[in-house]
Amino acid sequence: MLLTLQGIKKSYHLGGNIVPALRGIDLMVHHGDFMALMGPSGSGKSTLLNLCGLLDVPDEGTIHLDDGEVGQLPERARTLIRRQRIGFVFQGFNLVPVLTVHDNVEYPLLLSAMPRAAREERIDWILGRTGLSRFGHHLPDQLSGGQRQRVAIARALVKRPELVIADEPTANLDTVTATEIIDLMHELACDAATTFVIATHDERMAKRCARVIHVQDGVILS
Amino acid sequence: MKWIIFAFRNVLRNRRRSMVTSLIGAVGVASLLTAAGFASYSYYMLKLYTGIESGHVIIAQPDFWTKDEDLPLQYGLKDYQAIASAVQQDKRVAIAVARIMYNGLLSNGTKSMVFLAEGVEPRQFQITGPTRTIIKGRFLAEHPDAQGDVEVILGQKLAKSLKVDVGSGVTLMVTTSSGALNAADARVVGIFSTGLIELDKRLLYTNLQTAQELLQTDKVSKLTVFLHNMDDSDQVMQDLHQRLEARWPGLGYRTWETEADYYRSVKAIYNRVFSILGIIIGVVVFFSVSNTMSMAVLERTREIGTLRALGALPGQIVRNFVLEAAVMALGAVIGGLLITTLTIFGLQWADLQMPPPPMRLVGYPLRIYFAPWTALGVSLLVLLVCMLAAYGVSRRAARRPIVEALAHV
Repeated sequence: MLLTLQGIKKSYHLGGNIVPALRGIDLMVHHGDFMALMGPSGSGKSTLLNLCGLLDVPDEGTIHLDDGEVGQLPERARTLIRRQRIGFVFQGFNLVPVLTVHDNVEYPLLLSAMPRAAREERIDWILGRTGLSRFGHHLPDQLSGGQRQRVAIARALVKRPELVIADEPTANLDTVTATEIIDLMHELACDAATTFVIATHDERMAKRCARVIHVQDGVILS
Repeated sequence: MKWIIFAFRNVLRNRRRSMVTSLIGAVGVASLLTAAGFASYSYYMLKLYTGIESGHVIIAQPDFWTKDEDLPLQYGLKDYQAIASAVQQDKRVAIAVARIMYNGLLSNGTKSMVFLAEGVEPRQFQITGPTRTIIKGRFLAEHPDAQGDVEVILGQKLAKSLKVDVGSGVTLMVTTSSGALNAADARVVGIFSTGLIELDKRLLYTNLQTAQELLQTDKVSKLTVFLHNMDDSDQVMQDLHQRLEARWPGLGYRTWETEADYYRSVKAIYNRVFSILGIIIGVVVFFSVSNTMSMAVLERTREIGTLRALGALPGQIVRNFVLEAAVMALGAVIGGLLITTLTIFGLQWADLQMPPPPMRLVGYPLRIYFAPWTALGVSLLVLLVCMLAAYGVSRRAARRPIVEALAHV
């Protein structure tokens, strides 16, 4: 088991009120899963995704990555785990606008202090796999939406993480491009045996996922 | 290296804002360097002037400095010629000359005025150059004619008060070293200006020999030693003290700086003024960079969240902003050096004069020295201030919860 969440509760404080986002979630993510989290806005899927990606800590419950409890680790330790083992794809791409495609993809490897030759090898590989080899020197604003999301996927996968967290990766894309991105993510997941947890509203995306988890009002329905 | 390149790119993200910040820094650097350069020039000129006035090393009886004389040359220096010869054996010494300080009454026959006089060896001025501006006539002859008139040169205000000119006859009246009265007729051969009104009303120069004859003494007030390099003063003074002590025990030795009350006062005031100026400019640069970095941090909150999600530690985020501030500081330093250089050459070209300071008759050229060590210090100060400002601003943003940062709009 790659990721195990047990009895997860999470609330937010909004204007003096406590708003429960997750009301006791149990979830197991297996190695190599290509899993979709679906649910309406405000259902808690983004909160669940943040907890899976160690971006946030639960109020109650435990999160195990492999066999280790990681849910309540200090921020620094969670950061180092994210750096080594977790990749992220965001709805708005979240690329650094002043960095070229090459440099955006290189960023996570720089954080890991990987030697230059190894970095370049990894970047060449992932840009090739995502069809971006010709765009290495382009800035994000010189690319289409689909190309930008490819860069984001390349950035998430370049460090060969065990887990990729994707938050609405096709939400800002047209139908054709969204299909391409779904295919690409699926291919890469199969190639590298990488686990994907994807929050999405997109039915096409859900259809390509081996597991679909429905979340509503802070609980898992199915 | 990559991080520095990224910092450059981020600085260029909002070119106008970064340029304005760097420009403020550049003006700060230029202000500090210009002020420090002006102070350095003033220190240098004052030092030079003081050294020529007092000598670089001064040898006298210790009581000459600490006690008031009841009679002229009561604490005078004997055997000064032998001491001067011994001093001149040091290769760092350009010349050692004696001086007598005395006073008395100067009369044109109908009117008398109090004077302050220096008996000097004119050969000194071949080494040091003239320390007084001769307005009319000439300086004292190096070898006055034994049969000729006693020569005297007068401060311009003194000459004016007595209504005498070059060629006029005057009478010097003094108290001798034994307390008797003595007088000598003299011919005015020159009129000078010191630049100081009060001195010009009182000061006159005679030859050393004239002064000794008037005061009926074989002593001098002090021996003034001029060096090839003024900066050797302390070392030469120590060496002379050691070497001469055996033969002439108990002599007093001082350097020009001990004598230079005015130089030390001016330096203390300037240092204080420029320290305050430095603090003010530092604060302005600090707030300017803080403001720029605050805006950059605010605009890039989501980006900070993204980078944190990718595995950047808060310290790495802060480092990136600090590097960006360092890049802007570098721009400020380069701009500041450029402005300073242009100012230096501009002032040289324009040959501007400063107005006369209080109690002085003449102004002085407005010049700025470029002091490399000061430039280095100011550059490092600006760099430090910019980096501190960036650190202060970005530290909190880097520690903001990632989820909150990612949701920032």
